[in-house]
Order: sequence, then C-alpha cells, then structure tokens
Amino acid sequence: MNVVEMNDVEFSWENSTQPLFRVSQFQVTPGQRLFVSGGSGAGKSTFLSLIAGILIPTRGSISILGKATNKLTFAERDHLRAHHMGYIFQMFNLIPYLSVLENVLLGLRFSSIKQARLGHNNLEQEAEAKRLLNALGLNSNLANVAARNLSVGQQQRVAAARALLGDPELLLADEPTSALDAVNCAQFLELLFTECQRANIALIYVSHDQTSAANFDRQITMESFHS
Amino acid sequence: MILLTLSLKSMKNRALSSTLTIFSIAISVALFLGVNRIRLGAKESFARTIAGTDLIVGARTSPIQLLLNSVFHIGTPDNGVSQASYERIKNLPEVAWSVPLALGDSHRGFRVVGSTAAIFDHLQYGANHALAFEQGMGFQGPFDAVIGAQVAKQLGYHLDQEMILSHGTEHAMHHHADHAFKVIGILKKTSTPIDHSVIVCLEGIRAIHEGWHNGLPPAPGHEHEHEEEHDEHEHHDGHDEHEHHDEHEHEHHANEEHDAHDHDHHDSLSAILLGLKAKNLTLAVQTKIHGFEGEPLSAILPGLTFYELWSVIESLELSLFVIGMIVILAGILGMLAAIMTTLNERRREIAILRSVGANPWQVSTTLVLEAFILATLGSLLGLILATVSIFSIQFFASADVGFYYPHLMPTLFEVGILGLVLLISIVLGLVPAWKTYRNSLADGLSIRT
Repeated sequence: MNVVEMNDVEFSWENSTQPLFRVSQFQVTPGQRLFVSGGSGAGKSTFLSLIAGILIPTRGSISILGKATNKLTFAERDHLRAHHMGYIFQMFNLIPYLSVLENVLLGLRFSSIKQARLGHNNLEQEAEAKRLLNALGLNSNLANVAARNLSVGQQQRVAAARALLGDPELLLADEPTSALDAVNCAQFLELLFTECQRANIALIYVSHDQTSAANFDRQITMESFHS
Repeated sequence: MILLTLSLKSMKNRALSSTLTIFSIAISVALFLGVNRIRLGAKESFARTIAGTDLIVGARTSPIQLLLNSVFHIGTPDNGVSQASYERIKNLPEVAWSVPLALGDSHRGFRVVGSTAAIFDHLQYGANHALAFEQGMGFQGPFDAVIGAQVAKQLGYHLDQEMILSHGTEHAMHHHADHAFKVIGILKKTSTPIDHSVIVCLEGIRAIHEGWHNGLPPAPGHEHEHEEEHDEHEHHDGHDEHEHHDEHEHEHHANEEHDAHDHDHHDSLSAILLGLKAKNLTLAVQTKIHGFEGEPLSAILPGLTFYELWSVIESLELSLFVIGMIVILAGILGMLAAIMTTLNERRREIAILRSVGANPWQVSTTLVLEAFILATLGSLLGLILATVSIFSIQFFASADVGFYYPHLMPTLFEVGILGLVLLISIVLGLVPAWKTYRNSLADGLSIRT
C-alpha cells in the first residue's frame, strides 16, 4: 500500500478562482525518500498541509495509508497525523519551556499507536527518545535542558527526534535545514536518512535549495504541478 | 493529562504573570470572604451578646435605644426605672429572675454596671453561657468590683487591686477617692460588652453618687449654696445622704417630677433584664409592664429588637455583597486580560501541538484549563488569606471590637461563591480558547512569528 496516493487533486484557496496546483497522479511508497523543490509561494507548505490532513483538497482525493482524507472527520485526520506521521518545521519546532526530552516525547502524547510501538512503559519511551537524540548527534546530557537554551542546529535535531519517535510511516519536513550551514545541513540529512531507513519511514522533504536533492530517491518540483 | 501538564508548564513559564494573576484573584476573593465574614461575625457577635433573657425593661423609649443602652452599653438612657417599679416587676408572679442594671458611670473609659449578684447567675450570652470567673468571685460587700476580661487585661488589674470609680461616662474627672473599690473577681472572656465592664453592686453605685446632683459634684462652698438654693432641696450632705434624702422626699412628696429626676442619679435603674417562668408568658408580661400606672415603661423582646436593629444595616450588607462580587469579577477579568496578551506568542506552540496530532479542541482546552487553574489557586489562596486574617482579627483585636466569627471551615455559602468564581473563570476562559481554536484552524501547520 502506498503511504501517500493522490488522484486528480486540485487545491485552491477559498477566495481564489485559480487553483494553486493540480496533481493528477502522485504516490509515495513505504521508505521512499522524496525531494520536493519549489520557490517561495509555489505552495510547498500547502502541499504538506494537504498530506498532513490539515487541509483537504478542493477536488480529487488524497489517501494516506489507504485512507482518503476528504472522507475523514477533523478529529480522524488529526489522529491519522498523530499516529502515522512526523513533522519538522523550518524553525521554532520546540516548546521553549519544555525540556529537550519532554519536547521529543511530545510526539507520543497524542498517539496511543506510537506509544504502543515503543511499549507503554515510560522508561522504554525515554530510552528510545534518548537513543534518537544520540543518533542525531545530540549529547544525552542535554536531555533535561530547556529547549530555549539550544542553538538552532540543536533544536532542529530535537525536532527530528520528535518526528521520528514511535516510527511513523511518513515523515514530513518543511525546509528543516534552511537555518543550518552547509556542513550541519549535510550531516543532519545523513542522520535523518539513517533513521528513516532503519524504520522504513517514507520522507517527504520540501526545500527551495537544490544542493542536497541528489541524495533522495526521487525529486519533483512544485512547478510541475502548475499547469 | 498531557494537556494539564502543558497548562501547568506554560503557567510556570510565565511565572511572574501567573503569580500576579493568582494574587489578584486571591486578594479579590479574600476581600469578598473577609467582608462577608466580618458581616456575619458582626451579626453573630451582636446576636450572641445576650441570651436567655425574655424581656428587657427600661423607661419608655424606643426598643432599639433600650437594647443599645442595656445590652451594648452604647449611650445612656435619659430616664430610669424607679426602685418601686423594680420591686413591682421583680415580684410579678410570672417572673423567674430579674437582673437590674444601673449604668452611667465609668472607670478609666470602661463602663461601670451596677447590679445584684443575680447578674452572675442569670446573665447569659452566646449559646446560653453564663458568666464565669477566671479568678475570684462575685461581690460580697458594697465596694467590691468584678471586672471583665478586657478591663483586667488592658488595665493590668489583678485581684485586690484598688480602683476609683467616677461619675459620668465622658471625661470622668471627678474621682471619689473616699470610695475606693476593690477587685474581687475577674470574669472569663465572653467577647461581649461584659468584657469591657466593671460590675459592682447597686449599693456601690449609690455610694459613688453620694452628694451629687444633676450630674454635678458637691461644690466646695456647698454650705453657702445650700442656703441660697434651699428651695431646690437637692443638696445633700455627703455623710447623711439617705436620711437627708428621705426627709426631702417626705417634705416634697408633691414634687414627683423633681424627685424622679433626683432618682436618676441615686437609686433608679437603667434597665432590668427579666427571665420568665415560661416563654409563652412573654407577651402577657410585656403588656402588663407597658400598662404600669405612674411610670411609663418599655419592655422589649431582645431577639426581636435585635433583628429590628439589624434590618437597619441590611441595605449596607447588600451593597457590601455587590461590591465584593464586582471586585471578584475585576480579578477574573484581570486574569482574562493576562491570558489574552499571551495568545500571539502561543500561536507557535499551537502549530507544534497540531503537528504532533493535537486537535483544535485539545489545543484550546489548555487555555480553559489555565484559566481554571489560576482561578482555583487564586480562590484557595484567597480563602486562606481570609481565614488567616479573620482569625488574626479575633486573636489580636477581637477583644477590642468584641468580634466573634466561629467558623474555621468555609461555609456552604462561601463554597458556593468559590464555585461561582471558578464557573465564571471557566466561562471567561472560553474566550481565549475560542480565539485559539479559530487561530489553530486558520494557521494549521504554518508557524506565525
């Protein structure tokens, strides 16, 4: 089963007659790494919001793991996201007053399924959170530091750990490295790939920067959705 | 559970603002509860001042005036009850006991109450407590005095202490050094005006007044005056007053008014407390006393008159209540304002929560929770503040004001008010929650900064 499947999808904002984009056919298979490029205003974030179930298409259907999002209720789409997806923002990923570990564990709090995958035991969940932080190059003694005290690079790693925790089927990343320098960016991607591969997580990675595009299994541009 | 944790941590993050909000609610709640408890305490202290007395008899006057004079020792009656009437009332078949009260004198600012030993047996307060002695006993001789707990405390008096009683209540400058009284008993604290009283027997009161007329002490050249104003027949020689007095009474029997006036300061009584043999005799005895020939008297039911008096204060009570509620509302609105100002900075947090799968409902619930928690902590703190202050008042100042508020735990009414405070805060918490709900739908996963 495809992780994401789109058929004849059109999306336009309420007050606009012109659709933002059209997608006739689009699939993401399990564990696939997809690079989506596009300039600002091309609709990259909207595209991710459609997949995340925050928005529903004006026409056509989007299925996540076989479930058509336009046939689900608000709450069901939120559950779908909670159970089967991870999300990394461009920046400001963390709740500043929670500790690093609490921010990572936040990824489990709204999903019984993710928790079940790790075992309901708090210690097991924490152990996995700490393993991910380590795997992403963060020293585990940062676990109890308040998130606001981290550098931007460190914050993005914590965000990645949160998105990966509980082994969701799909990881959505909205320009997660745009605030990082080239060296950090390459390292971040490599670690992200390793973890995605380990748990067979499909990755949809959106960026305006083509530099790292070659490392992905597939590349598409938002422009190809504009007709 | 995670929502509660998030709310708590979010509040902790805004510790200063949260603390100020909690304190502003606490102060408003404490103010409300405090005012309410003082109101109830005042009512209760008022109501418990006298118990077990069926009727209070005095010269004809308004019931409230008589109650204020006789029970609260506020003001002095203009006229008294004659000894003759006292004897008559005392011997009415329905009367079980009687306690005469002669007021109008003072000792260093404390009221002197002239009475009989019956006062220690029959005067009751609160839940029918009789007066009890901390030390010593009731008076034995005419110059024995029993003092209230506050008199002993404030003047530092002990048993066998000598004290000079003076005539009149204000600026009692004329001391009668001839008649030094001796403290023979000290009463236990009652939190009623008795604590501020010096109780002596009626003979003692008469002794203070020897040689006094119309509130004036014997003038130094009284022999001369005696000659000049002989027709007034008021000037007694301090040493054979009774004889002299009787003589005058006999000689000028026709001049009743004059004699009655004289009696005010000699052996007339300010009031008489009566206990009847049965409660259902009260109205009959009241009617009987009202109908006394020769002397116009009033007989009042203390409980009834008390409520009459209290009803005067009731409109004030209502305005205090309304003001209290408005103060609480202001406190809650302050909290609402504090939460509303944080909404923009929260949009970022809300997008994060949405990205990990929280739905808009859950996100907005954190705000209602926050309002609820702040209001709960504020109310509890307010309750503690009010309880501590009211008890401090009772311990440190109670005696001075005779204030009595017996409840340590909040009353049902107060619990209701606190419940209302929480309900209002939840309802008002829906405002930022609704705004957040709208924001979270509009923002989705885009982070507004």
